[in-house]
Formats: sequence, structure tokens, C-alpha cells
Amino acid sequence: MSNDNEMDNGNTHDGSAGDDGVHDQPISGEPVSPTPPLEEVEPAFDVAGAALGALGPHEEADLYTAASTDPAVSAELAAMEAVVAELARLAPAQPMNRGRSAGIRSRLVARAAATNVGRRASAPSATAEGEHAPARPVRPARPGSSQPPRHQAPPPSHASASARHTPIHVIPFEPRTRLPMARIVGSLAIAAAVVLAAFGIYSWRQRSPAGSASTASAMQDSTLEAQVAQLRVSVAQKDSLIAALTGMHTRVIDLMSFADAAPMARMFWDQKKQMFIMYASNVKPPAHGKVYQVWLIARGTTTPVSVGTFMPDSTGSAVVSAKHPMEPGTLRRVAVTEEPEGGMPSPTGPVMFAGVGR
Amino acid sequence: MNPRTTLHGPPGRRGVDSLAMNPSRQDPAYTTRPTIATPSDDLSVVRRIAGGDESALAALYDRWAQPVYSVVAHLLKDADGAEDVVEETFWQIWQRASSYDASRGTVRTWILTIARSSALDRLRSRKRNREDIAADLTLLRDPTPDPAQYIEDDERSHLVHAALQELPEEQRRALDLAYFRGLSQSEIAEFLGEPLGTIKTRMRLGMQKLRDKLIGLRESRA
Repeated sequence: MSNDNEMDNGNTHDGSAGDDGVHDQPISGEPVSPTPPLEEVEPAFDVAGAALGALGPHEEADLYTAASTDPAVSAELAAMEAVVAELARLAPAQPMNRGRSAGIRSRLVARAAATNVGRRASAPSATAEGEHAPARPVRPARPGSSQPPRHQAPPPSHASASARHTPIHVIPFEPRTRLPMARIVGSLAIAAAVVLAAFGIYSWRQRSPAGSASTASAMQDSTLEAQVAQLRVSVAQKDSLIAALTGMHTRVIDLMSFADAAPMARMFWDQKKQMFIMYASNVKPPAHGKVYQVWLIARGTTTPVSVGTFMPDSTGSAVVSAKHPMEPGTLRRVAVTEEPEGGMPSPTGPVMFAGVGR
Repeated sequence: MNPRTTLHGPPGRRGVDSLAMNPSRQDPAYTTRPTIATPSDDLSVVRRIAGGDESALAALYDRWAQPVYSVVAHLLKDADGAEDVVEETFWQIWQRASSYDASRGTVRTWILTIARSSALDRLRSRKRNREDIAADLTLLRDPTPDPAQYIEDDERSHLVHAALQELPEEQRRALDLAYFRGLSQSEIAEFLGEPLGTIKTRMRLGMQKLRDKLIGLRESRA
């Protein structure tokens, strides 16, 4: 039996001295901090339990609500969180898989760069103060939980305007396989600008009496209208791709080349939408009568599944997108082989690229 | 490397199954220990992240990914899940950096709080049953790990271990079940067959004493 004050309800209460007393000296021999004797304390909130993440959801929500309005509760919670962080020192070291860590790092930086591009494209005149502000929480919650954050501090003054306008620079983890995210997003921005320009010209011509008076202008209008429609479709498709590339559930698989040159391929796997998008560059054309075919191999099987064929364009680039059901975390391998035109039911040709899933 | 390797080729270094990204290159992301940096360095990096500098996010990742991984992997007992939590943690850092309040705690505490919270969400979504918890608890004969295996094998880690060992067994066990096993107070109470109030009290007393000891330590080292 412990020396705790045993209580059968959920209310906290303080134990007396003894094994559970609080009059111990610190192991350093220094006097303890000015914490009041526990028997004098009747805590309204279980701050220790909250810092440990051990409360029930309702109790936790109540506490974080209190912490957001009561500085004393907030300070106590911060102190307890610091204690919990000290306990982290006792977790045994477990080395992270280097390749996977590299992939995570690469994805994070690419996604961060993409959000920067998106922010600047969507709000070019945004004020420095509001540009990087995170979504405001709706209600308090544990930091890091899937619920909105409880930290309510306004954007700090140290986030200087100059820093906010740091030029975009994606840090490539592996230069050989530089992520084309910024280029893709940049292309999107250009396409959007073209759409807007074309639409502006089209609208101006619609309003112009002189333009509407001539047959030639009417034909031009018709052509422009078709181009605008086509560009809008293109932008919508690219928007969809960007969303898939930057989603929380997207995994990135680097594919290594087996050829002499230095082609590269990178696959983005949106596990939630079960969408695969592979970008390849510097790819040599396949032999006459051949195409490249993309294969996925799931965990627990050795049978590759085809998700499509492709031909690189004149610059050696290719984009392959496919939807294929696969449980998250079950993709074991990705490979690209050279196959006869039309593809094969199972791979027969040489492997041009291969990557490791996760 | 053989350019003619096929998917059906013989297993071995040239087969598809033997492929892996080359980890031989020396990169900060590959280090298993945090790089030398001070809390003020961390603060500076977080400020740069708040300013939208993605290279700062990479720098913070290089410094903290490994310690974060060790903590969440120990909690989750699942390498894939731990990697997901690491990624989620740093993504949240990117999104929330401007709300980081240095007066509430260090960057280290902030990062580990986010990471552990994410890990707990994931752990509890697994809907562990009593048998799962019991299996976890079989590891608890020595509730705290071997000091030789600490992430940060420094003097402070040993002092934290010593401070924890000074707690009464019941309090230490409550903290251990909550911190290292991710159990809620209700789960601990149910598993140990103790009233919830008792568990709450043990946890609070243990944390308060630990805090006092650690504050004493900090002051004595200052």
C-alpha cells in the first residue's frame, strides 16, 4: 500500500509527508524551490496529469481552457511540461533509418517551400505580420495533438519582415535527385498568370465596340476563349497535382537509375487518396517499339502490379499519375522497366529505375 | 550496377529487393546524436522558421529529429509510426513557429511536447486492449532504462535518472506508466486496480517532487 492519500473519486488531493512527502532535499543538496507544502494546496486542475498527457479528453480540455486564461495555471503547466521534457532524456537512443530520415527531411523542406510559394502567390501584398501566422485555434488542446493548438501567442516581433521575404530556396537533400517542387509550383504560377492575362484580353475585347464589329476579332475572341478554357483546365489539373504532392498523407519514393546517364525519378504517393504521381527527368527514349512501364510491389507479395506506361518527352521528362488501391505503409518497391509498346502483364524487360517504398 | 537487372532477376545486390537509398554519404540528417547547439541557437532557428525560412526547418530537423525519434519510438514501439510522428512534429513546428512563446519554455521542451502529444494520439488510436497493455507492462520490471542507453548520455541524464529513482515506488511507477507507456490515468487505475484519485495523487506528488529536485539541480549547476 502506498502512502498516498487514497481517494476513490477523481478529485486530486495532497498526501502527507512520509514516502510521498515533499520535504525531500534535492539531490544536489540545494534547498528546494519555494513550492508550498502540498497539504496547503488544493489544485483545481490536474496540471501534472495534463503535462504527461494522461488526462481524459474532457478534463484535458478544461485544463487547457483554464491555462489559456489563467497565467498561474499556464505557468504551472509550463513548469510541468519542462519536467516531462526532462524525462525524455531517459528514453533509450534508437537510431533512425538514415534513408527514411532523409526522405522525411526532403519532404518537409519541399512542403515548406511549397507553402511559401503558395503564400506569396496568393497574397503578394500581405503584410509581414500576417503572412506566416498559423491557423488560429478554435479551442485549446494539447500541443501536437490532432486537435487545434492551444498556444495563442500572437506572432512574435522577432519574425522580421525581411526574414519573411527570404527568397525561396528549396534545400535539396540529394542534389542528384533535386525535388522539382519549386519548379512545378512556379510553372503553376506562370500558367495562372497566362490564364489571367488571356482572360483579361478576352474580356477587354468583349467590351470593345471595335473588336465586336469585325469578323476577324470575333474569330480571335473565339480562339482566345478556347485557350482560356484550356488553360483553366490545365491549371485545375496542376492544382490537383500540387495538392497531392503536398498532402499530409503523401509519401515520396526516390527511384535510383540503372542507366549510365543521370536520369532521376521521384514518386509521390498520396496514401489517403491512393494516388501515385511519378516525375522523371533526363530519361532517354526507350528502344524502338518499347515504352517504360511503372510497377508497384506491395509488402507480403512478390507480384508487381502495373500502374501504367509512359514515354519521355523531347526533353527527357515524363509525368505518370495513377490511382491504385494500396493500404498505407504497404508499398515495398517501385520499379520502372522497359517493355514492348502497350505494356506487359508482368515485367519482362530491364529495370530502368527502382525505389524503396515505406 | 548492372543496368539489365530485371524484376525477376536473382536476389542479391543487383536485384530490386536489394536496392536502398545510399546512406553512405555524410549528411547532418544521418547523425544519430544532436549536433552541438545551444538553446539560443534553437531559438534563433525557430525565429527563422517563423519567418518562413525552410532551410531553418532543415536545420532544426538535423538537430532534433533523432532525439524526437528515440522518444516516440520508445513510446510507440513502431518504427514506421515513429517516423510518421517525427514528420508530423516538424510539420507542426513549421506551421506553428510564429506562436512559439519562449517565456513558456525552451525550444527543446516545445518540440518534445509536440512530439509526445502526437505520439500519444497515435498510440491511443490503436485502441489497445488490456492484453496489449499487459504485454507492455512485462517490460516494466526495470521501469527506467539502462542509463547506458540514454539518448543524451550526459551527466544530466544520469541526474534525472537518479531523481526519478528517489521517488517512492508507487509514484515512480505511475509516472513510468504514463510517460513511457503512454497510459492515461484511467488506464493506469484500471490496470493496477487502484482508485483513480490515488493514481492522480501519486502522479501529482511524483511530478512535484521531480520538479523540485530538478530545479534544485539546475540552481546548483548555475
